[in-house]
Amino acid sequence: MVPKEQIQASVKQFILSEFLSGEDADELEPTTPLVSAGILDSIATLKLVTFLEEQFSVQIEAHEADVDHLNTVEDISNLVLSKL
Amino acid sequence: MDSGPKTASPKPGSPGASPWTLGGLFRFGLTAFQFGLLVLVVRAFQLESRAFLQVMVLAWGGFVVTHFLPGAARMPLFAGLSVASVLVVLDLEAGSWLLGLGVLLIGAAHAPIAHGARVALMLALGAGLALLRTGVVDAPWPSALWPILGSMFMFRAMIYLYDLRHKSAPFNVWNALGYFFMLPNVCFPLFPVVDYKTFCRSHDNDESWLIHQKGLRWMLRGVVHLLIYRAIYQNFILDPAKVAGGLDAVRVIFSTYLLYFRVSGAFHLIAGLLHMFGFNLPETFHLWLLSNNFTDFWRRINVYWKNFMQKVFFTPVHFMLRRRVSPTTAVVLATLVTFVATWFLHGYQWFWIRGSFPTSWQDAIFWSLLGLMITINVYWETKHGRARALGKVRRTLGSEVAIALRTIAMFLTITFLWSMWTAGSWAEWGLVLDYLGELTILEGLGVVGALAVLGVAGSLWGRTAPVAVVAGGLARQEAAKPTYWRSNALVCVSCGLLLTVGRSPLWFSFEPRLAEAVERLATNKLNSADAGQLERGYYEDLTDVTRFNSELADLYKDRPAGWNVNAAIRQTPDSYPPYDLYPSVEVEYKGCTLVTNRWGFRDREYEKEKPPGVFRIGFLGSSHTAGIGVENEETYENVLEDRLNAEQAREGLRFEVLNFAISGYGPLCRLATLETRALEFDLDLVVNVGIDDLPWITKELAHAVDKEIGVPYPELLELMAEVDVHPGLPRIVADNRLPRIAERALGWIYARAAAVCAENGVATVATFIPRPETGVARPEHLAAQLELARAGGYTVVDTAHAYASEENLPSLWIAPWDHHPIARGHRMLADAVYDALLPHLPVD
Repeated sequence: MVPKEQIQASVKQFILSEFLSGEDADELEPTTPLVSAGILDSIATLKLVTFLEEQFSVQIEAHEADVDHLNTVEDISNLVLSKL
Repeated sequence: MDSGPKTASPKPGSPGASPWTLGGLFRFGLTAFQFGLLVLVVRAFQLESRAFLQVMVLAWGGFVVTHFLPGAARMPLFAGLSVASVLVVLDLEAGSWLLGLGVLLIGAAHAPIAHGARVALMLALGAGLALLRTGVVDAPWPSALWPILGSMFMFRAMIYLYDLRHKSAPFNVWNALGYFFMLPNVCFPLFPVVDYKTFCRSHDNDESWLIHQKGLRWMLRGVVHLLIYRAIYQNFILDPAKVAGGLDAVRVIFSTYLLYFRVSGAFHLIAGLLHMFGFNLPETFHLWLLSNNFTDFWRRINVYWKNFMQKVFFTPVHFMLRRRVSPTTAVVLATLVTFVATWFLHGYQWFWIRGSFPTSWQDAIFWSLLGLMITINVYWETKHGRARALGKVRRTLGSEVAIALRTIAMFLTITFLWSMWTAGSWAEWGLVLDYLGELTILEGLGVVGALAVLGVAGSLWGRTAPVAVVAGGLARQEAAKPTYWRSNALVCVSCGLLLTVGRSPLWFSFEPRLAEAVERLATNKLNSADAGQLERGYYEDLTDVTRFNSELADLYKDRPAGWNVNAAIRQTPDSYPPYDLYPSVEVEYKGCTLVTNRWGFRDREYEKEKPPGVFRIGFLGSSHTAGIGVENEETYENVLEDRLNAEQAREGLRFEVLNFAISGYGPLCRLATLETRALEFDLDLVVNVGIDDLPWITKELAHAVDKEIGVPYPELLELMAEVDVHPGLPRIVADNRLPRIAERALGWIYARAAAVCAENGVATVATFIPRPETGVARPEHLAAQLELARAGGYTVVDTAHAYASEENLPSLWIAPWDHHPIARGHRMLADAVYDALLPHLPVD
């Protein structure tokens, strides 16, 4: 089982490099809203899903690619954990 | 910064919280007061419909009760209020049908069968209802129910089934009733596509006072948007046929798009109202005028629709494709599918609201172009990403100018596309674009200045990302801007200003035009362009109610089918006028029995040869004189005949009043009727009854051009040639050019009619009767018509005051969508005509 902290770190790193290039890593906290704040739009969400599936060998369903499951780094980690 | 009162912040309904604390009661009282102010503003400005005011009052009462209920009882109360709103707005019969059908559909969605079978069952029920909607099979319920039933179920049923399949939200009877019959849907056929999961999850997900305060601000924003819409609607909408210069063209193009304020206003009002019941929903529109690219536009304009399409189409299609094609190709294909679906679903929505599928070329081009542009934008973002920031955005002069220019470019592109989408024809759109070339340098600078203001606004406020879905924490941030007290002050002061200044146009009496504009802002009347469309219904079936002329569309939604269908009455001879009435027919038309005599006129039977001792008066006119909407014996010319014979007849003198009026006849048709038919009846006096002859002559000539009907007067053909109007010319172009010769044409027609009467030894007078309405009175036309009639040799008698004693003019209409006078109006007309004609009759 991959520890939650490791998942969070990996997800945070991906989001920073892919969508928030040049932003201060400290500002991206586990509870920072991503979907509801417009950082993860529909295209970015799909990119993130592809990353999660490849990185953690999980399968995410279409109905899970939404604000309820992907709004924060914390939510994303919980989703991945629930599938490991 | 203080984001709320210092007292403990209770969340009434949450475990252990009490609504009876001093702080809670104070906040509740303040919120209820502001909600009440907003209800008064809706009432004062007659926003939306009377039904909406009823629902607002109901909602206010429900809000007060909700505050004192435990959390578990709130959704049932909301469901109950929603059901009650259906019965309040619709009558018991229609409301019961709607609720019954709704419960049937909800029941089908929960049928104890496999999910696929449920979907099939829902599709079968939908197909059955669609068949009834087309009218092929008569439905047992009132037709007024269709738009509301469609609005409640056409999209929400899809979302509901989707969430039901994934069990992603709680399902119970109260949630279902509240979701589908959602207050205030019964007043809004066009309703935001609220997501079921968000509806359930957002309910009471934060402290009530925060949710309520946001709801109040959104309702206020909705009110402001609706007033902006009304100001544009009343003051800037211009009939494309009346475009006479470059600035007019700009006005048509911009104002057509800006009418969308009505939708954003209504959606803000609706979302705000739902907040008052604890539904902490996301924003429906986000600064949509400030979009700076196509995907940005898609994300800002009707956010719920974007979310719905993303959830039900875009994401599932992408998930289906992503393992078969490259990620970028999957995104592009999913976007294209989403846009084809959007196009289809707009037609589907139109079908449920109006009963037919729109199949215009504009739809195809608009959605294809929009889909293509957004797909290109999506492709770019997929490849190159887009700028995002966690904190404050770094701004440079270059970045600000770029945002401003992109905002302007986006606005121009969308307004052009929108004007094409809403144009009646290519010719109409082309005509407007042609006039753009006539923009003067000064006018051009003015337009550039206005666009520069938009660009600056885009730079200042356009960067804010739309909030897709509001979670609890973000709601707190959102509600804290502005702070609690500033938010209260904003709502109270704004409502206070609207209620005092806005409802007292006399305050602006120093500038009468401003006072009139303020007064118009507070009324819910058709503007002159829409009233013109009502008139055109006489001439041709008005089958294409412009999709964004929602005031007119609203009226027509309640109009019985076939109201304007008159094929059983009209025949089309080879000569001018282009149509007349079948002789000796009896038909039901516009709610009454219409009987024609053997000569094909709506009148009693008369011999062609005048009997001895009879003074014969012939009336030429249109639908008002023909008595459309009243029985034969109730027409004002028959009432006049009876009164003349009752009060003025003596031995050797009787009166016969013959009615040659036919619905839709303008000055040219009246002249032709006089020459070819009326004079055969041995008349002593001809009364030429006009209304708005000046615009009408344009319509008659344009109609002749459009339908290639021969105008039998070379003098008029020469005038038309002067402005290059000839058979085969698009109607809209003829409509645009003919007003330049309208006065001369009308003057010639009056002179000819007066001369023909004189040649035949018949006395003649002209009169211009009023319509029983104020919004379309055109004194400038009346003054010109009076002058032209007198110059042509007519004696003009005054009947303009016929309805002056009636303060409530709509009480004289035969229906809200048809402003012909009822029998009482005809009696008033008869009295006015009687007084006006007496000096011209052989009486003492």
